[in-house]
Amino acid sequence: MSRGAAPIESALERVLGRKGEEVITAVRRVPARAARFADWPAGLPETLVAAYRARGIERPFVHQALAWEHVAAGRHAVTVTPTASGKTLCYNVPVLARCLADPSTRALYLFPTKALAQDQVAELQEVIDRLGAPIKTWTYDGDTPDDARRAIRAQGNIVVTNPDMLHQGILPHHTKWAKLFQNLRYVVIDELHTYRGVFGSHVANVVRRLKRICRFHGSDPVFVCSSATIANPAELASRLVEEPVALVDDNGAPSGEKVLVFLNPPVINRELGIRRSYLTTARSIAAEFLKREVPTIVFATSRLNVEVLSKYLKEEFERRPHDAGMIRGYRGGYLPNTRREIEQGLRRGDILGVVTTNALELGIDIGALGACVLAGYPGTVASTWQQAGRAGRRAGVSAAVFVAKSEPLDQFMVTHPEYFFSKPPEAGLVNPDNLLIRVAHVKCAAFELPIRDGERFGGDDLPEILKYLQEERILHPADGRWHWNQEVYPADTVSLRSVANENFVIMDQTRQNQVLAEVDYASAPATVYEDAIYLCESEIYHVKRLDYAQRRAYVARVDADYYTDAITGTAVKVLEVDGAAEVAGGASAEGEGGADLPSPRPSPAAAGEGEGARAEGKGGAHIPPPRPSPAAAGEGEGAGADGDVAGATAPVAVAEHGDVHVAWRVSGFKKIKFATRENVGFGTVNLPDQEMQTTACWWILRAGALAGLPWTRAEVLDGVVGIAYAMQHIAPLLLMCDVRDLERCVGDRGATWFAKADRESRGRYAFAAADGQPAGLTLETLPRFEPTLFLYDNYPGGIGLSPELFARRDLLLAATRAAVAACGCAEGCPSCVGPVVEMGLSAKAAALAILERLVGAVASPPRVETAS
Amino acid sequence: MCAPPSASAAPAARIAGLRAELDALLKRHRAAAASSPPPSPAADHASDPAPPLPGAEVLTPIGAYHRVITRLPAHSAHGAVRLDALLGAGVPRPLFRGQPGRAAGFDARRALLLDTETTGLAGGTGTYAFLVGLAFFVGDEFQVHQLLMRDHGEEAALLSDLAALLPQFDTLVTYNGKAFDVPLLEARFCLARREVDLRRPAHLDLLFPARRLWRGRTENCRLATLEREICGFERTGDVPGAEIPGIYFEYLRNRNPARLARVLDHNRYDLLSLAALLVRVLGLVRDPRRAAGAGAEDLVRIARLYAEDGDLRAARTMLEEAACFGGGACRTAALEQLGDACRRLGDGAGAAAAWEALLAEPHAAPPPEVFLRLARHHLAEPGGAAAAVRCLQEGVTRARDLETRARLERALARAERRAR
Ligand SMILES: [Zn+2]
Repeated sequence: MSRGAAPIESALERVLGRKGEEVITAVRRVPARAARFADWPAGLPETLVAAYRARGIERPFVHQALAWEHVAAGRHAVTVTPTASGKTLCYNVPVLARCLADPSTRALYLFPTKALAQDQVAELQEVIDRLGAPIKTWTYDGDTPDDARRAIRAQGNIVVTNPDMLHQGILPHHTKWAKLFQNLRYVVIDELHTYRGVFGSHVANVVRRLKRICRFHGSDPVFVCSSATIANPAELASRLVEEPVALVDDNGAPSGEKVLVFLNPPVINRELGIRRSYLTTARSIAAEFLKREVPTIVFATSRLNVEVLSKYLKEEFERRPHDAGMIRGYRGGYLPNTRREIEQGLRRGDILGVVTTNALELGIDIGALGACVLAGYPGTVASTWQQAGRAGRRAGVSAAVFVAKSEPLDQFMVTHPEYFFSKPPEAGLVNPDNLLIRVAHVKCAAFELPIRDGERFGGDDLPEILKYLQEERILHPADGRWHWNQEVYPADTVSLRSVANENFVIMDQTRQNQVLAEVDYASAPATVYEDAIYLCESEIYHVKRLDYAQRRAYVARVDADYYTDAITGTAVKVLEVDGAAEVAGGASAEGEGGADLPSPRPSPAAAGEGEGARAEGKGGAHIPPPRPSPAAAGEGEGAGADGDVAGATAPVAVAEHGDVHVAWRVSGFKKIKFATRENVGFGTVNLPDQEMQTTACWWILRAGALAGLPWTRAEVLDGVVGIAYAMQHIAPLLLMCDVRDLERCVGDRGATWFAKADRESRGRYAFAAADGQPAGLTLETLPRFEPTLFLYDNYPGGIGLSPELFARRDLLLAATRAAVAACGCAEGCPSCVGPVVEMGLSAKAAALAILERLVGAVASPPRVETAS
Repeated sequence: MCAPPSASAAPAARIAGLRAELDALLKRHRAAAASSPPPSPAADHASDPAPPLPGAEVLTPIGAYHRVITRLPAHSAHGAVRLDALLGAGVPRPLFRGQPGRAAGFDARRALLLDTETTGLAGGTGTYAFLVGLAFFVGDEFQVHQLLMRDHGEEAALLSDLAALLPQFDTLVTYNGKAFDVPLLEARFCLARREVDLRRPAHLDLLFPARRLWRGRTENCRLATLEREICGFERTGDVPGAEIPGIYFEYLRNRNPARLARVLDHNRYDLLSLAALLVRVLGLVRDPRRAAGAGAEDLVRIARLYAEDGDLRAARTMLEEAACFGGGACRTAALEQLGDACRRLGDGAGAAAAWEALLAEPHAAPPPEVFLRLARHHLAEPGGAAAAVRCLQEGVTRARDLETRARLERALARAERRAR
């Protein structure tokens, strides 16, 4: 059913007219775009064209025809298009055409989730039914019954599955799937952008294994990928496929006009930087649309919030008996049938409003809705566009309203809408050569097929890995090949969702110790210590007992109005430097091609310094002189009260990236109230020290950044700790990752001291000399004060985030500065440098002053206060 | 922008770092797994002077492997069973379930008994059959051929000889071979790029009839249990099956054949027991009345095999006999199955008689179908409504759950209407 534009416009008018309450920071009208068509490619079977025509597709869009061209020529391709632009046709047409021409053809479709796979099979089956050809499509997942499995192996033309199943169920049994692998012509990877970070790094290795098995059976499939809009789709695809991948991004699908509104809930406590609840705001915005019977989707950032919001909206809109079912919640935990029913209700228009997690962000067909409310920033620009795209018809206006939380990233986005609208979305990053991940897959690969001497599987050091696995009695060399030499089945112990296969298992005591979830080995100490509050799905759990040796945490459901935040003391030691560059400071670098934040000062000289430009200057007008040698660096330099070295020519900072060793100890935790973020108590944690090797990016602050600042060294250190907090929270702006995928540490590049927090300091960071340093070393007596700010990949071995942080370091600094500067709080708050009670009174001012020197002293960007 | 981390900087140092990291992770594993059973005392055997591996190397055009041949007179006994009892024996049809037409052509001289020893039970392409044990009649001998790969490099030669041998036989005899040995060998042949159709010969997997015959009567249905209880053979000094992969991995490392020789013994015993068990199963199923030591319970169980195969007449005869001689649970089971067999044969009176007898048994707990079917039988007879009502009333009082009771009550109500 189609409802007119009038109700949407009138709802928008109301939303924009809410004077004196929320702050509207942006209203953008994205104009309608007309469809651009191509002709059906010559050589397509007539029946196929007829089948699509019968479905109402007269002609393909330009991007669909282009994808065909690449794939037909045997080139791997990735199609990048927004929601509802007919991306499935890009891979279904070549696959079906080939199946019609050669019935022995096989294709493998990979979707990140079971639900998506089932959705796609249904759609594909419709086309096949119209074709009337004996093309068999099957989903193969954990629910597939045994006898169906045999049929699929023998006769499925198109096998639809997920990476986990390929990894554990198909590749280790590839001889049973010989027909599939012998005749495999296409591998379709949909929702490519979801394969990033740990998961993506694993999937890249699963693809390595897949290609290896294909070679054995004599096939060489073409990879056809599709992705949401991200900064580097072709690069991500070629990292996963390890071959060049052609990019198709000329979207020919039409779209109606779309209005995007950014909205910040009003500040209710300026001192603490507390804003009105974004949930309350989101709910009343959604109500404006629902009141006018505009089909509306509300995205919440957690399952708990889905429950809360849908409960409120139901109360408001299901007052009369026949209204029941108008508003529905939708999330991952629901039963498949319930979800199918909701999807159908949305398509048919029986359901007026749906509140969901990002479960509905991916390509599940729910028809075209009129309005979308984003309760909280979804974490990435890519997701924001995906979610906003859920409202939108091919004709007529639609609206999307983003309501910001008080988190730093939300606040940055809502106060810098230009950034959102002018920047390409984040990059999807993977590190297929993460050692732990790669070794796990070398094992799986050897199980599938002995590894030949001289074979390649990722980086150059495969022979070393093989020898290592031989010593561990996992592989056995014979006849120039490395054979699996254990009783167990390696894929069973390798989860694609974690780096090391040593997850902690969380068991629910309130449900007969059922397994509730798993936590990665590295993050367990900071999340499931005894007395921690553990949040899972929409439930709150209390950790009763942690059995560290057995890797088990026992939890019980509770009602709590607080969560816990671990107090962690961290020390980082640099092992190897992979790249270094001077931070240009005042001559704000634009090295990374269009770091066009709202504020950076236009660079007077070409100061852009590419990656790899070493600190030992390469010349150029504004590059500061080489740093002083350690011998010369003694007195007088450094920050705080004692420093008076003038800023103009002193080096500001050096950025480096490389391998680091991280040691950390969780000594306690804070209890924090959900509603107000108030600290309401502390607890003690007794856990062994943790360590890992990973990759990091770090900034060594030098005299030019600190000299002459009107604060003590301790206060300056607070400021640097605050910058680290802000940076960690802003980094997801550049990388498609979660805040928790990175961690931070402030200390000394030479590992002589660190700013550490512990139980005694109640979470406040303070100077701590490293072990083995002379007694009595204090912050004040340090011969040289060059605080170093580390951001590291929070996974053993790294997942590819740090090198990218280094590459985009200037943009990160600029965005961090802009975020802190734009925050309306007085002395620091969770939205910028961290809560003032923990950071100290001068943290925000010091952080800002140092950031100005790092980025360039320019005026604060004007804050956007009213509708444009 | 996400260039791979520079590997060139200092490869050696980098690899050393990586090794340290891996070591750390694996050590944590070992600590966590410390509670698992300690490895078998392999070291004890290492000091023994190692006798050479029995058997001899076989050279093929594609390499060598090792083979141990054991020749026994065909008339030798394994436990209480004479192996030559197989010669000339036919296979009753029910044993070739799902392979109609196979039974007629069975010839023990063209049967290949097969049992593999593997590097694991998990299956998948990384599990190797390092020892393929075969047994068959040659002239007046029963021979056991054990094909062993002394290293992974010998697998191709081993498989090529196995592939050459298979076409000489019409029937495969295994214990759990349908689920394990055959799929595993199929995977091995595929990986060795050999097209061998293991589904061509008839396949007599004794696990299936063994379960039908002895489940619940012996401690379990493992071959080693049945050889003791059914064939009267007692193994001494056997290697537990669970230790076998470890013994092979150890052999790969230290080349000490002492413990591997015991795996060869284990495999040979398995094959002889398989032959002996085949004798027992064939004898029992072919003619349970004449088989030594067979009782009424055997008859009931064998009747079920025949009934499943569609030979309801044979089943009926056996069940009638079992109902006659058996007591207690055996008799009730016989009567219940007998009623069913008669019904499927269209013998209403026979079925009714069996069910009536079943209901008269003091401890019988017949399923609701018995009451419903018996009532239906009565209703079909002129003037049988009253008998049907009585039967269903009995069913209602004996019903053990509400759902069954409701179902019978509905039937009762219908019968009562008919009776009026
Ligand atoms: Zn703030």
